Parts: sequence; structure tokens; C-alpha cells
Amino acid sequence: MKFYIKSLYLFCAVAVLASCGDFGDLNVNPNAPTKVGTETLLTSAQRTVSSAVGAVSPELFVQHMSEITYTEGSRYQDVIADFNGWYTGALANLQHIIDLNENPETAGEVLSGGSNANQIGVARIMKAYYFDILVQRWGPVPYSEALKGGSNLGPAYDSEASIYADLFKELEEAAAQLGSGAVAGDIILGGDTDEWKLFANTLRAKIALRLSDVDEGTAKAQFTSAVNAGIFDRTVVYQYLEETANQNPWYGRFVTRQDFAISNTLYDFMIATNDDRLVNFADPANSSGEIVAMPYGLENSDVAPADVSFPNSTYVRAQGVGIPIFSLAQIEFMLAEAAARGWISDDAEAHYNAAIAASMNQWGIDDQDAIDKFIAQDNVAYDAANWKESIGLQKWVALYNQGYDAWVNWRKLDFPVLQPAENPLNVSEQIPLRNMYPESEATVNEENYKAILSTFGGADSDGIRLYWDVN
Amino acid sequence: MKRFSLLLFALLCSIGTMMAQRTVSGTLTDESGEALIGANVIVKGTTTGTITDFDGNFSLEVPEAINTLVFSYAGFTTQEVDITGQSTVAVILTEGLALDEVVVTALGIKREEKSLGYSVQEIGGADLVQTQSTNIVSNLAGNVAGVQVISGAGSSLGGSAKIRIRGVNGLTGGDPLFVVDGTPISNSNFSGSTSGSDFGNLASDINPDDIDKISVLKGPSASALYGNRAKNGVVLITLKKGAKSKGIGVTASSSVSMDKVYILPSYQDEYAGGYNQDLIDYVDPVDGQTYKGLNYSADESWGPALDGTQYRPYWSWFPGADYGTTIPLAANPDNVRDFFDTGVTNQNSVSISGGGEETTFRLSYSNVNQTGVFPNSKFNKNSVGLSAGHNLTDKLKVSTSLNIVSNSGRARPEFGYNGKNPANSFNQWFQRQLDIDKMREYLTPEGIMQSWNIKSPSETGPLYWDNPFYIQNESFNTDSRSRYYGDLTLSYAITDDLNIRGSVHRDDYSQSIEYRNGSQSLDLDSYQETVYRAREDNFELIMDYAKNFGTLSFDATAGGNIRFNNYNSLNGATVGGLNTPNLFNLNASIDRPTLSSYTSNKQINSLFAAANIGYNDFLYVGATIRNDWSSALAADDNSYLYPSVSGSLVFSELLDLPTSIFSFGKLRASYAQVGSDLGVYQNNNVFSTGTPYGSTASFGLGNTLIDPNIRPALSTSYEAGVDLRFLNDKLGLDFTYYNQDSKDEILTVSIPGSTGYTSTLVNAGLFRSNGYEVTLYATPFDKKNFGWNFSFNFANNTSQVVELYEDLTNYKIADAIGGTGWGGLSVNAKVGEEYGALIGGGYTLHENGQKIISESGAFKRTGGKDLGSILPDYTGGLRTGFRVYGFDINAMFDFQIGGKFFSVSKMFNNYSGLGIATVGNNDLGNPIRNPVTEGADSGGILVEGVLEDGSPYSTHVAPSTYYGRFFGFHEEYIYDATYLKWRELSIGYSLPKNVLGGKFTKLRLSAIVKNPLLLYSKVDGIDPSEILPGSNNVVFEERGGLPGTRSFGIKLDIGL
Repeated sequence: MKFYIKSLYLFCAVAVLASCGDFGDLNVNPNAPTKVGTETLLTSAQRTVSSAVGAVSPELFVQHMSEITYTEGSRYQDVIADFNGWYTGALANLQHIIDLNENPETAGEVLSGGSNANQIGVARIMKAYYFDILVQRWGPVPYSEALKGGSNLGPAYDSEASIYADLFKELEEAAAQLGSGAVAGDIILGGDTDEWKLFANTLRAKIALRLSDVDEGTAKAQFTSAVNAGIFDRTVVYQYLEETANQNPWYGRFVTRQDFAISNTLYDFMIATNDDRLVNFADPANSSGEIVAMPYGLENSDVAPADVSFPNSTYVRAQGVGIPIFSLAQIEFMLAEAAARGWISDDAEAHYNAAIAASMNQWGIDDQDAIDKFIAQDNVAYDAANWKESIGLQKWVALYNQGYDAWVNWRKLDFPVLQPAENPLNVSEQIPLRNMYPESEATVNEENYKAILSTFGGADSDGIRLYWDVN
Repeated sequence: MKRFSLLLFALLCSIGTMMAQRTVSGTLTDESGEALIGANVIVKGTTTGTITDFDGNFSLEVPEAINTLVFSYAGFTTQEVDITGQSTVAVILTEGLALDEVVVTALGIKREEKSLGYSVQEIGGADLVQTQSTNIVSNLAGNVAGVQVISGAGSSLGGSAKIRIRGVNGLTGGDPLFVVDGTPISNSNFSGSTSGSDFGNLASDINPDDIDKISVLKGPSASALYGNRAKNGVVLITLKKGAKSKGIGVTASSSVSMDKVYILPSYQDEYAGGYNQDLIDYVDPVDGQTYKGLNYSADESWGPALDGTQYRPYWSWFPGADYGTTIPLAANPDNVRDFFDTGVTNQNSVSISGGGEETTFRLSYSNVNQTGVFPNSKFNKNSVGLSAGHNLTDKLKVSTSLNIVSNSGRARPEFGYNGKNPANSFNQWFQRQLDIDKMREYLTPEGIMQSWNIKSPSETGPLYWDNPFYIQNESFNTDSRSRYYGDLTLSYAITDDLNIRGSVHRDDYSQSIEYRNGSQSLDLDSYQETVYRAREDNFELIMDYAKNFGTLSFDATAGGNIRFNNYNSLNGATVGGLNTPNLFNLNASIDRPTLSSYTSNKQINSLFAAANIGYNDFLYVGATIRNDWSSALAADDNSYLYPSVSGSLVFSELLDLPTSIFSFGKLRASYAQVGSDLGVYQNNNVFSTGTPYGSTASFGLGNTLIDPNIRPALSTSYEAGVDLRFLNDKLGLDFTYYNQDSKDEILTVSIPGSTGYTSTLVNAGLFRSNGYEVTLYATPFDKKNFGWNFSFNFANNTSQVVELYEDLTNYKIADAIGGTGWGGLSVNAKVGEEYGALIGGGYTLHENGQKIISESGAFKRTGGKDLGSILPDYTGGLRTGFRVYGFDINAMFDFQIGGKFFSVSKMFNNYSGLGIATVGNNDLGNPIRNPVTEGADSGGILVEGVLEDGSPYSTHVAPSTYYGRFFGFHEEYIYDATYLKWRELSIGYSLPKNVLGGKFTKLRLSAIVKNPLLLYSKVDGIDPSEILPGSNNVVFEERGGLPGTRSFGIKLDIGL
């Protein structure tokens, strides 16, 4: 009897203990997926293009626009900018697409996104696009050791030269690996791999041209190779939709606020050149019905928003209007500069004129006679002797609403000549030449952060010239 | 494991021998012969006992072998009475300090305080209700050594209060566990953390009038029996119970109090809104005349001097009767203060209790009705409590404690750096000359909102700010919560020594919050509705055994617990505006509304045991052990075991000194481990749902890199203390030292974003926290008609990260608002340094120690600078009471020494020219706002320092530039949070019992002042004890804080 009772107790105890730790699938999260199609990752990564094309601060730095009431942005208060979101968002998703397609164990499971090679190719091109944004803003950034998750918790910063070298290689290889068939989830080029080849080549040409003053050999070789491989002959936009979640950011900025107006710097230049694009750059001021510019970078502004001209409500800040990733005008200006440098045998002036015409078309001016008349003006016509000034000024106008490209253009060609804002709030007290690193790096990536700052002389500054910005 | 299960098994299965019982009854009175009602009577060395009834009578079954009963009563010296050969006793207790008392410990087990090897501090319910706070957590402030209470401002009307026991325990900080009559209850908080309304912490659902006492178990050793949630301590709340009595006892209390805003920053009243000192000429399109006016679109006050010039105020541009009015440009020094109403709080509660031979009960009802200092804000709470016990048979008892609470709030103000926070506007973005009374007409007769911040005279829509009255009256939030919690317990006495009890505990609530943005507001009109529902069930089976063997006392407890947590939420929000003005409904959404739902389930199974042995009333040793299995951990590694050991030595028993000199001395020590657990689904690697592009779905990789090998971890702590009492317990000192080492804690560690992730979830680090707590108490006078007592406590805590993870050298605890754009201030724990370092931008010092400035007079900023620790060096409180005949006066103070915080309000208060610092004269004797020139007539603020090369340099800088440059220049606005605050004062009068006559047992009238004075603070206009609104956990940043309030009230207590 005693034995039976003991056995029963033992049985109960064992049963209790054995089942204590068994919870079945209680800890499986029902609220989010553990597997998704790679096409959804691509869509997510591409939506971030909006942050690249719709940014505010470079539009202020180049004095396309001016802040009205709060002028701190115009006075360079936000030169310290956070690059982490680019890595943890779009770049991490693109890297994941590449990893899934390269890993033999998962490569077969992700074909809903397209062939492995095509997915990898498009993801590499997009990665290069984003890294180009990073390197043109901050200069040296984590690159070769980045996006490795737990296997490198302290990515070191790479030099600009080595990042550019790798971007050229990536774009060339990626274009080469694209084959037939579409890529799914592509909201920029509809999944067309031929178009992606053009994207890769155009981007490569754009980056190559940037290096012209520092490494002309590489710049020329990469530029001509990219152009020969085929670049876009049209404007490619990031298309916004008429819905709150995907609306044009300039539209969003004006839903409840009125912070930005056309800058007097741009306005004065366009008035002086009788530029018809002005009416489509800006809206008439609410109070006067005239186009009125906002003086750039005032410290204490008593200008009421109603008295100045906001960015145009049809061309710039309509809810569904796209913003160029590459504009045809920009591409023609690139060719004009390459021709002026003698890299290609084309006529620089012809490309210059084509660029202006393309920009006029982009901004709703289709009357070719009017365009010709505009170009014929002394202060507009191509001046081969001072091509940097000609291209610098007109490209500056044409890159209105393409902030980061305009900022690069100004830094490289040194035209237009701009005066900094009143009482600047940045370190250099001049127009910023780069973004400063996020200070989070000082705490989470201290060693590498200090190492890169030591190449700047120990302290971060927005006044440090980037690799390609030689003067 | 095997050994453990055998031990447990043996405990569960052992059955003691039957023992003979006898009944002992008697009466308990004080020295004047008054019956002591509800006093504890315990059979010594056991957990069995009873309480005295309304006539001071008791009756108790006592095992034959035991001959001692222990009598205790709050405010009286505990007495042991020998009952050898007696069946009736008459016991008289003498008044004294009650530290000898039986205290409630984990799992509701009552134990003699002297037998405990760890620190427990108890607060009687009477002390808590004296000041009639609606949130019991606020009441713990200053009362308990090592317990820090941090809260938002009283004007928030939610009054979230956070409790920190022993500083920060572990890298992730955290709340103690709240347990009410054995039921663990949630102290979650659905408020925003950086901005939003404060909906209060959920423990504020407890009705303070129902509380009998609160035990604060500070260390993990005291709480190993509640599992790892008790790692940060346990607040054990025992509710009042009914007792055997002749009739039914009735108590009622009623109070009313008035709240007024008492602390605001000092503003300048010399200059109006705008950016330049000249008035602006406006041509009125109606009469064609030119008028002087201000820059109405400005929300800063760098404008014209307030010199009485006639000008057109903003409201003169709105169509209507006031159109075209001019008024003198004059100061309105009290405009901010006048915005606020006088809040009124009404609290009423009633209870009935009683009992017979077999049944006891207590039923209570309480109502709180509050209107806040912010216009249109109100709060209402109803709670019903029932506790009842019934003896089904001699051996089988059933009992329950059930609480039902419902509350609702309206227009609780938003806090934080937020356009819907009027205080944020007043202190940071405003025009000083504005007349608040004019703003009360927030709508024109045509229904158009009149904002002071119009775009221009021709366009009178709001530019950056809504009218604050519009926000409170039309764009307000509402919230409601209904909740019930309680238990049902069956207990069976198998023998006299062995008892088994089974309980079901549940805490179930549903919280809904509705957010509105009115159709006239600056922001797009919108409506959002969120419903949260959470339920926790605990099923518990416990066996208790207690027996004395001669001079040895022994008791043991063993049991098991299954905890199940279920949580759901449903959220909907309109997108793109409302299709009909002010139709606050999801189906009024212009675009497709966003909808989301979430559900989670978690289970923890536990087995635990505890045993205590006492020798000859002076040496005690106890041990506990617990094993948890958590569903949130990896299936193959989800079990963890953690033990504790403690002991106490009552050395005064050995010394044999006269109690009139040295009455009591005890040494105690304990050692404990606590296991750690993951949050539900935290180790699930899932994709996050991204915003779709049209109908194209998007998903993103999660931002946290999850270590697949994450495993449970243990933290180890020990504490030692001494309890000394002198002069018949009239003077006492209690000292505790503790150390806690958390190793391989499950942490979310920030990593560089360039890895592709923002953080990684790993087992990491060694985090050490240690400190000491001191309580000093005295009763200098204790005469019949005069008494004075006080107790003073203080505590020190230091915390440090000894190791982190791989090569990481810094653990980021929190980021300030504004992120990188605002300079990137963060709170950090650096390896080898003290926890809580504020790291941000500050001055750059030259080798010669001077601040480096540029030729334009800008201070050179250095980022990533260590700006001091947020942790206080000392916290503490002082409570004192006087008693003169029927009057009593009680006061409570608390303080903090050290600890830094950053103030966003201060930064923008100067930045926007509102603060007092933006006016005055400079070194040349000229107003700083005068133009900066080269000569002796220069205005501007003198900036002195050295240039990069170290050469001295000084220049004058216009104040708007000077303060503008301090944006994101954190060092300038880092403040020392040291404060001394008089928190409470109450003066009461109780009618003596002989005056009351037969009907009343109690009649007391008291007057109460809360927050009478902030006696010391280093910051103008900010109460450092109230800078933590909503659900935020780390105090390091004041950001658009709401003003503090002071309240005056009266209260009437009646007992029948």
C-alpha cells in the first residue's frame, strides 16, 4: 500500500515538472510575420527615396528656399544630422534582400521577388544610391564594415575614396548581373531590369563627375564607361500618391504650417534673367497676389507668411506630384560639363542649351521660342571660357526642388556665389560643406568615431571640405 | 533540480500528526480600559491568529503544546502573554512604538518583525489617508527609506507617480510589484512618455480609504516568493477587513479641497511679441487708415517695449464688434496664472463592516470627483470594495477580496513639448503682452477660432498655436477605465499545524482613450480611439506548516502558481481629416482610417518553498527557493531556479540590559537571487509592418538584433542591517546596507545604426547597485495630552556598469526629445562609471580653463560631453506629528540631494525672449535688449572667454542671438535637482470618546495642505520633484512640464 502511494506521488511530481515547461506555441507572435516576400522589403526600402529627394535643409543651404518665421534651419542649426535611420531602414532591408537571395538555403524561397540575380542586382543599385547620399552629405561613413549585424558591432568609417571606388564597382557589377524578367515590388521603375541598368549607369556617371577635381582619371573613365553603357534620356521621379501616407513631403509641410518661401537669392537671379520658370517655382503671396521672395537667413524676421511666396502649389507642393531622382536637365548638364572638360566629344553648349530646355519643359514652359530667347540672353548664354559659372548658375536654378544634388553642385562648381545667413548657428559660421555626425556615435561607436574625428583634427565640423570639394 | 523536487515533494506530501486543541478567549484593552478593536492575536510561532472584535474580545483555538499568545496593535507595544493553564485572559497593552509588530510578508504570511532577516517597512493606513491623496503611490513619498517617488505635476489631473525602490535596480530600472490582498495588480501606465495626457498609473485605482497597511519589501530577498517581477521590490497592500462584532460598524469620510497653480517661471514684462523692437504699420483695408501693430505670427517676445503706445491687438483684426479697436501696449504680468482655474476635489467614502461567529465582511464605496486647474478638465472615480470571510466548517474557510473600480477623465491637459500643451506655449512660445481674458472668447460668433498667433491681419487663421481655451474645450482627450481585481480563496486546516489554501486571483481592466483635434484647430482635425484590455490570472496552491519544538520554532510554506497574462489592444485613427466638422468618429475619416490590433499571451509556471527556523526567540534563519518556467523564453531553456537565505539575531536578548536604556537590538542579513525573464514575444524575430505604397504592401526588418541563444539570467543581492531601539523604544535607528549584482541580464543594448540595427537583445553585463538606508525615529514626548514624534529617513544609492557586452563601452538608457536635431542629449551608463551620465553638448574649455568663444561671441560647442549623473546622491524624508489634547498636527517633508536634469522649458523660455533672464541691464548699465554697438551705449549681453589661441576676448551679443545659440547647448540648461519640499501639512481635531456619546465611535475634522512650500530648489519656476510626467521612466529631462499645484482642503471622518 505504502509503495503504491509513494509511486503515485512520484508519478504526480514527475508529471507536474515535465509539463511545467511546455507551453506549446504560446510564444508565437500572432501580430507580425516571421517571413515576408522580398518584394515587400524592396517596396519598403524604396519608399525611403522620398527622404532623399524631399529633404529640406539642402534647399535652404543653396538658398532656393528661405524659412519665414523660424529661421534656425536657414541659419544652419541642423547641420548635425542622424545617418542611423538610413542604415537601419532602407539599407538593412536591401542587405537582407541580398542575403536571402545569396544564401543557398533561402534563395529558392524568395523567388516571388524575381530571379535571384535580378533581385540582388536591383538591391545593390539601390544600396549604392543610398550610400551615395550618405557619402555626399557626411563624407567618410561606415561602409565596408556596415550592415553586418551582430558580427560587427562597431563598424569603422571608410575613406570617401574607398567608398567611391566600391560604389563604381558595385554599380558596374549590378548592372551586369541584371537579366531578363521583372523584379516585384519595384515602385520606381515598375520592375523593368533594362531601366535599372540605365539607373545604375546614370548614377555611376553622376558620382563619377563629382570626382572630377580630385581624381580626374577615375572620374573620366567611370563617366565615359557609364555613358557608353547607356544612361537615362528622361526624368525619373519618385512618384507620390494622393493619400496622406504617401504624399509629397512639401505638401505635408504646408498642411498645417507655413514655414517656407522662395528665397530672395534665387528670386533675384531669376528676375535678372527674366526666367519664366519663376511663376511655377512659387505661388503669388496671399496678401499681394505677387511673387514676393523671402530674404534669406534673417535672424529676426518680422515677415508674415501671408506676405511672401510659398513653393508652387502645382509643381512643388501638390499632394501627388513626384520629385526627380534624376532630371533630364541634370543629365544634360552632366554631359555639358563632361564635354566642357573634354571627356566626351559632344558639344558642351548644345548639352547646356538642351539642359535648360529640359528644365523649362519640366517646369511647364513649352514655348521653344521663349526658351531660345531666354538662352540667348547675355547673362544666360553658355560661356565656354567660364563654363563652371555658366553651368553652375543654370544648373543651380534647374536643380530647384532637388536639394542634395543642388548642394553638391554648389560645393563642386562654386557657383552661384552665396553669402551665409545672419548669425549662423553652426560650427563653421559659414554655409555648411558637409553634415556633422550624430553624437550618438560618441556613445555607441566611440572608438571609431574618435578615429574618424582624428582625421579632421579631433573635432567634428561642418566646415570640413569633402574629398572631392577641392576648393 | 532533482533534489529540489524531492524536497518540495516531501513538503507537499508530509502530513503532520493530529494534535489536541483548546480554546482561549479574553479581552484586550489599553491602559485606560478602552477596548482595542481589531488588534492582532497570534499563536506564538505559528501563522494562526485572530483579531479582536468591537469590544476587544477574542477567542482562539490554541494547540495544547503552545502556551504563549502574541498581542499587537498599531501604536502599542507588542506583548507576549503566557497562557499556561488558562482559558481566559485579560490583557492590557501599553502605548508605544509599534515596531515589534507582526508584519505582512510575501504571500501574505504574517511574521514577527524581529524574525525577519531583511528590511521591510510598514505604513499604517491611517497615515496614508490623512492627506487624502487619490494616488497611493504619491503617499509613499518621504515615508520609506530608500523609496523615491517621482511624479508629474498635480495640474496634470492624472498624477502619475513612479516609485523607485533602492534607486535603479538593474540596467532597465523598473517598477516594484503591487500586490493587494494577495492579488498582483498592474501598475501600467497608458499615458504618453514624452508628451500626451497623463492618465495616471494603474495602482491609483486602489482606494486609499480601504487600506489597512502597506508593507514595502525593498530587496529581492523579501520577494523571491513573488517571482522575478518582485526584483525591484514589492508593495504589499493589505485591505481593511471586517471583524466579529456586536453590530455593524459604519465609517464615512468626506473631504473637499481646492487646487491652485503655485509654481511658474519668472517672466519678463517689458517687451511684447515679435522679433524686432519697432511696431509694424498695417493698412486696414476697411477704413484705409494705417495702424501700429505687432508681428502677430511671432510666438516669441523680442518685440517692442511695453510702453503704452496705442496698437491693434490680434483680436482687432477678426470681423465683429472688436474690429478696429486699438489699446495701449501694456504688460499683463499675470496672464499665464490667470489661465488656470481653481480645481476642486471632492472625495466621499463610506464603509460598513461587521461579523458574527462564522462570517466577517466589509463593504466600502468611494467616489472621487475632481475638476482640474486646466479649463474643462475633470476626473471621476467610483470604487466598490468587498472583503468577506466565512467558515464553512471548523476547518474549511472561504474568503474573498473583490474590488471594482471605474473612472473617467476629460480634457486632462497634454504635457510635453507639444502644440496641445498650453503650458508649453506659455513658457516657451508666447507673446508676453497677451491678455488672457480676451482669449476666453475662443470662438468668434461665426464659430471661427481666435488664436493669438494669427498668420497676418489679412489672414486670421492660426499659424503655430491654437487658442489654449480652444484646445481645452474642443480638442480634448477623454479616457475611461473599468477594472475589477480580487481573489477567491479556500483554506483548509488539515491539522492544527498544517494548512492548505488554494486561490484564484484576477486583475482585469479595460482602458479606452479617445483623442480629438477640433475642426478649427491648426492641425488637421482628427479622431483616434484606442482600447486596451489586459487580464492577469494567478492560480495558487499553498501549504503552510508551523510547529514549535521546545525552544525551536519552525514554519514552512510550499506551493505552486500558474500565472497567465492576456493583453489586447485595438486602435483606430482617422486619416486626412474629418469629412464633417467636429464629427469625432472613425467613419468620418476622409482617407482610409488606420486600424491596428495586437494580442499577446504569456504564462509562467512556478513552484516555490520557504522555511524558517527560530531558536529561543533570538535567532532566526529562513530560506526560500523558487523555480519558474516562462513561456517567453526559448522552449529548451525556459526554466530557472533562484534561492534566498536570511537570518536575524536579536542580540538584545543576550545582553540583558534594562529596556529603559537599550530596549531592542537586532542584526539581520540576507542573500538572494532573482531570475530574469523576457517580455512576451521579445525573442521572436519578426518583420514590422511598413506603410503600404498605395496597395503595395511593405515590411521592414526589425530594428533589434535578437541573440538566438538568449537565456534566463540571475541577479544576486545581499543586504545586512541593524535595528536598535533605546529608552523603551522611544528612540530607534534602523540601518541597512545592500548590494545587488545583476549578471548576464537580458538587455536591449543600443548599437551603432551602421550595423543595420539600432539595438541588440543579449545576455550582457554586470551591473552593480549598492547603497544604504537609514531610518531614525523618536518619540520625545508621549504624555496623555501631549505627544511629539518624528521619523527621519534617508538613503544613498550608487549604481555602476562593471561590464557590458563584447567591445561596447556604453549602455544608452534614453534619448532626449528632438534627437540629433536638438543636439542629441542622452542618458548613459558607461562601463566603469556611475550610472546615468547625461551626455550632450557643452562648453569647450581651452587648456587655460577658459571657455572658448568665436569672434562673433559664440561659445564653441563640444558634443558628447559628460554633463553629470541624473542619480541623486541622497533621497529622504521627514515626518513629524504633534498631539495636544484632541488636536493633532502632522507634517511631511522630503528631499533629494544631487542628480541632474535638463530643462527644455528653460531653454526655450530664454530662446523666445519670455524669461526674466532676457531683460535687464548689461555690464555697461544699458538694457541688454538695446542695439549692440561699438560704443559705451551698447546693449547686448557681455560674452567673455578666450579665442581658439587662448587670448582673452569679449564682445556684446544681442540677447536673441545669445540665447538662440544655446539651442541644443545642453550644458547651459542642466540643473541640479536638489530640493527640499514640504509636502503635506494636516491639522485635525478628534472629539474625545466620552464627548461623542454612545452613537459615534469617531468624529474628526481636519484641514489639509498639500505642497505647502518648495523650501529649496536651485531652479526658478520648476519643481524638481515633479518633472516626470506620464509613463516616462527615467527622470532626466523637463520638457514642457505642467505647473505644480498647491491644495487646501478639509476633511470630516465619522465612525458609527
